[in-house]
Amino acid sequence: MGISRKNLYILIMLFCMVGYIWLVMHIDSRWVSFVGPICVFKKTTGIPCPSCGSTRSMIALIHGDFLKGLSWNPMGLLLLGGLIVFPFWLLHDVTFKKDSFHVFYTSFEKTVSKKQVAWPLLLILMLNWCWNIYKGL
Amino acid sequence: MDSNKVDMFILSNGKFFESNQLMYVREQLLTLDDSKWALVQTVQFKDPTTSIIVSILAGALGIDRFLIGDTGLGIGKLLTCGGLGIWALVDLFLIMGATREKNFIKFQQLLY
Repeated sequence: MGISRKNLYILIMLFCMVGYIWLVMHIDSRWVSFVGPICVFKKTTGIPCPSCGSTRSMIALIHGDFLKGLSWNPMGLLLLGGLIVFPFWLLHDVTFKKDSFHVFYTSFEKTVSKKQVAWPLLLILMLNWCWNIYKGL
Repeated sequence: MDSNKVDMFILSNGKFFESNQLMYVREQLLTLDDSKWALVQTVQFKDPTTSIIVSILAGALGIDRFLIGDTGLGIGKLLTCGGLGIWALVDLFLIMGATREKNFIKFQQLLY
């Protein structure tokens, strides 16, 4: 059941690559106007989506402004953490032929699917979304 | 199992599987014991049509992936705003196949 190890690792690698390219494009000011806001949800409804502002948050975090990063969108911290940790984790797994990340992923999926965990997470997400809309990102 | 029953199952649940999986489903059901018929009949499969509608409406938030049980991918999609919109677009084409694949896995778990 669930995604296979190989597919998961390829997918995560792909995400990390796209994530880094995306970040570099936003750090370099020449690219910012070229890329622009991409969020489909915001473009169609006019309301910011739950993850709007995470790029700005990550950029602020990279520049060392922790509070500003959190105030843009706390999800940026999660994403940046993932971007930093996951490539090393995958590299470790691939070189030592282990599947610790795959095990972590499946157990994470199982934990999150539990009602006691899913509902609080959903509540936090909704509150964060309300905050996003209030901030008018 | 009686081939009439199997044909009835295929007729009513055929849309939940890929066409190439249907032959396998049929063969497996034919070899299955009659006592399992009640169980086989009551299993609920996810409808691919529902998942594509959800994908069109809320694909950017990853709700379609949550719906078919890919919680981890759903969270990934949610955090990245539908994978910068690209993944949401790709999933419009993938989600029906993914749903059928999930149904097939569910069916296989039923057998053992």
